[in-house]
Amino acid sequence: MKRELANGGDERKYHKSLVFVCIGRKSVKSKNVNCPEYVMHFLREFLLLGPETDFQVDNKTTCLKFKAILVSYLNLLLSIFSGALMKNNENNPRIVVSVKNLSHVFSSRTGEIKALENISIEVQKGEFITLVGPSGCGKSTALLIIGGLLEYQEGEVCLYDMPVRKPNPELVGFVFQETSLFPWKNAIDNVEFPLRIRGSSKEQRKCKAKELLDMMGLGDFPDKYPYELSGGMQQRVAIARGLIQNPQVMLLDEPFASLDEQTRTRLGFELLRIWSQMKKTMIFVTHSLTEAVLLSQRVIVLSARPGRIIDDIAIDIEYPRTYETMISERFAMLRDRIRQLIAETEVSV
Amino acid sequence: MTEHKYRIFAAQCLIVIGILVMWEGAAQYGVVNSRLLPPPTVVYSSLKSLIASGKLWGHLSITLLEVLTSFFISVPLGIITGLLVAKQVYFRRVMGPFIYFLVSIPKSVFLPIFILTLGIGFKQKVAFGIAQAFFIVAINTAEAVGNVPRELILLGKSCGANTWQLYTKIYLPAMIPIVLVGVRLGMIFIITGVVLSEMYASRSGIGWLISSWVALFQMPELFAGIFVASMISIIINEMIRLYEKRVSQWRR
Repeated sequence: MKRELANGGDERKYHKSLVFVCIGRKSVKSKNVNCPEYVMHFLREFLLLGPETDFQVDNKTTCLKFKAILVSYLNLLLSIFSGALMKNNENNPRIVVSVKNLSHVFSSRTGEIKALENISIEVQKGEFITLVGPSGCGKSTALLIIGGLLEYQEGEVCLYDMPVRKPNPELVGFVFQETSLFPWKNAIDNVEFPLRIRGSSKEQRKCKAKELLDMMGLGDFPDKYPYELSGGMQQRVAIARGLIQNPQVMLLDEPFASLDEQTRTRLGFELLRIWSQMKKTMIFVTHSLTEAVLLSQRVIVLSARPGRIIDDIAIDIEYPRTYETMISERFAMLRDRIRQLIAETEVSV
Repeated sequence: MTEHKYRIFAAQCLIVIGILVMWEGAAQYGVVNSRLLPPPTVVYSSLKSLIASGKLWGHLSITLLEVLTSFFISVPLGIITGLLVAKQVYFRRVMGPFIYFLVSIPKSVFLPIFILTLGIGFKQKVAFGIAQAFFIVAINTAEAVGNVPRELILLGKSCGANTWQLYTKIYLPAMIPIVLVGVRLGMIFIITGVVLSEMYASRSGIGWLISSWVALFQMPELFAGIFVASMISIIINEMIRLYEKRVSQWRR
C-alpha cells in the first residue's frame, strides 16, 4: 500500500494525502509540540505533498515532533486500511465538494419547513461556483451544511471524500456578511482569530495576519476597529480572516450584500484576483445575479422554498473578467436567462 | 470642542454655586426655618466634625461591607441564571415567568419578611441586597445572550472553537456591555435596599445613623449624612460606568 502511494503521484493521491495530514494533525495539535523544519520537510516528502501544498504549519514555529510523525503515520495507515476514503468519486478525483441528494427540514414552532430538497452538487478543485435563488430558498443553509455548521438529515455531503459531520477549519474558510467581524477586536486581531482558536503562537499569528492584510490592501490599518472601517474595508478584513488558515475551499455567504454597487463590483474583482492567485475552490452565495454571472464559472439556480436545483448554468465568459465583461452581450444574455428562471419559480409559489 | 466642554463645565459649576448661595441666603435670612433646613455652612461644619470624630467611618464601613457582599454574591448568581434562562430551553420555560414576575414586584414589600426570618443583622441586609439586584442582572444577561449576532457564533464554530472558547472568546466580550448595564443598575438597587433596611430596622450602618438623626431632629448631621451617602453611591456608580465605557468602546 505504501509503495503504491509512493509511486502514485497523480492528482487523486495528492488529495487523499492532504486529508491524511489533516487527520494526523488533528490528533497532534492538542499535544502542542514543536518541531524543527527538517522534520516537516520529511513529513512533506513522506506524505507526498507537493512543495506548495497546504501543510499549514509555518516555517518559523512548527508544531510537530517525532511522536507526531508516528501519529500521522498511524492515521495514514488506518485511513488506508479502513478504505473509508476510497469509496466515493472513484471516477473523478478532482471533486472537492460533493453533495448528494441533500434534503433539509427546519422544525419551527409553526411546524416543519422544508428548506432544501434533493440537492446534488459536485464542485471541482479550483472551481468558482455561485448559488442563486429567490430569498429564503435555502442557499445559505446549503452553504452552512457544506461547512459543517448545520446538521443535515438526508443525503450525503462530502469534502475530499470525507463525510462532513462538523466544521473543518483547516479545509474550509467562511466569509459572512460584514456583521461577522468582532466589533471589539481591531482588524489584525479579527484576521488572526481562527489561528488563536487553533492555538498558534503569537508571532506566527501576527505574521500571517499582517501578510493577508497587506494582500487585501489594508496593510496600513491593522489597528483600526470595524466601526472605523468602511463596509468595503470590513469585508476585506473578513476575506483575509477566511483565508488565514489557507483553506482549500472558501464558502462565501452573501459577503457583499450590504455594500454599494461600486464597492461590491470592485471587491468582486478583488475576490477573482485572490481566486486565481491562490487557486482556491470558491462557493459563493448571492442574490445579485450580476455578481453571480460576473464572478463565477458556474451558476446553480435554486427554486423557491423548498430549494431544488432548477438549473446549472456554465458561464462561458473568459477570465480575467473586467468592467467590459459587464457590458458584453453574452453577459446580459446569461443574466437575463437566470433572472427568467428565478422569476418563473417565484410565480409558481 | 474643548472650549465647548469648558463652557458646559463652567455652567454646571455656576448652577451648583447658585443653589448653594440661594440655600444659604434663604436659611440665613429666615425665608425658611433654619432648624428644618440648616444652611450649607452649618451642614459643612457638622460634616467636618462627624468625619473628625470617626463615628461616620465605622457605620459607613459596615454599610459598604453589606453592599459589596450582596454585590459579589448576586452578580455571579444573576449572570449564571441569565445564561441558563437564555441557553436552556427547559429552564427558560419553567423559570422564565417567575423571574419576569419577580423583577416587577418592588422588593421593599418583602422587607418585613426578611427581618422576621433573618433578624436585623448583617445576614438580613445582605439577603435583601441580593434580592434587589439578582433579577435585574439575570434578565439583562439573558437579554445580552440574545443580542450576540448569529454570524459571530457561526464564525466561531467554523473556526473549530469548542464550547469553552465560544463562551470566553465570543459570548462574553459580545455580552459585556449589556451585562454591565444590569450590573450597574443592580448596584444602585443594592445600595437602596441596604440603606432602606438599615433605616427600617438596624443597629448600625449609615442608614441607621440617618434615621436616628431624624428621630433626634439633628438636621445638620442628617444633611451631612445624606451628602456622604449620596457621594458614596455616585462614586460607586461612576466607577462601574467608567469600566463599562472602557470595555464597550466598540459599541459607538
